[in-house]
Amino acid sequence: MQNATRKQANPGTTDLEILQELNQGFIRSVRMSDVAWFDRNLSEDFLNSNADGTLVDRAAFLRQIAPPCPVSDFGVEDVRIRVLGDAAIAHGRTTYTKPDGQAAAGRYTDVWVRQGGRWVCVSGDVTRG
Amino acid sequence: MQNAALKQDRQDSARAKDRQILEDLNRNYLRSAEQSDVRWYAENLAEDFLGSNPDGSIVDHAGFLQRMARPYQGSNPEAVDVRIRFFGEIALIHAGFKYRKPDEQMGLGRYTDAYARREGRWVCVSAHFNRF
Repeated sequence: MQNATRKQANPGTTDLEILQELNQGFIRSVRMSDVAWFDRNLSEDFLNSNADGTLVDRAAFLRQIAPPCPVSDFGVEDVRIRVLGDAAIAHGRTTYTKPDGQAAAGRYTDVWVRQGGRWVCVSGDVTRG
Repeated sequence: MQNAALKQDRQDSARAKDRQILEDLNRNYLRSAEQSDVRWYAENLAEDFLGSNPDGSIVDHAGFLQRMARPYQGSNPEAVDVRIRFFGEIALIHAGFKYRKPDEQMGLGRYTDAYARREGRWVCVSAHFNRF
């Protein structure tokens, strides 16, 4: 996130570069249960649709991220980021190993919005295979 | 002061109109799924639309239309707990939904659709859809 913060402040960095780094930060912070990163980068009105069908707000999402990540080798591939003016949509495929050792995959769609000169995540939707 | 109040009234009126339009789009999105109304999707999905499916695949505009052309697996899809949020020229629709499975059991799902205002009209640029 510190790198992303520097890039957000650097006028020479493109929005796409900033969002690519934020997307990687999102994945890393899920893997590392980095609540502080999410606290800095989620909007106040953030909503997340969980893989079990529940919809949670910012505070509930931070609580659910805090425990150790229940899967291992959590990574991302096939990332597609589209910048649509002052909003951006990030699509990606997640890969991970379940607690029973089986390989699995999922998918997510995150929406980012430029607020006060910086990008914040306003929505996440997660599918797990 | 009167000008500020008038401006606020106009903004509120425009927002209410946008909300009504998105509620209609959301209803028609579900109706078109059940009726395999590919034409509706062709008219209301952006050319750069991407759809994330429950099986983890992602499809573009053409791939999505091909999928929606097939008969709907179930009946009576209904959105529940619909929340519409505006972020400038982008709107998000968060909703759960229920439907009748082919075996008559109740099925549940959730989706997040993103719409963008382009050339004066709202078009769907992203759909993330889950079934449980």
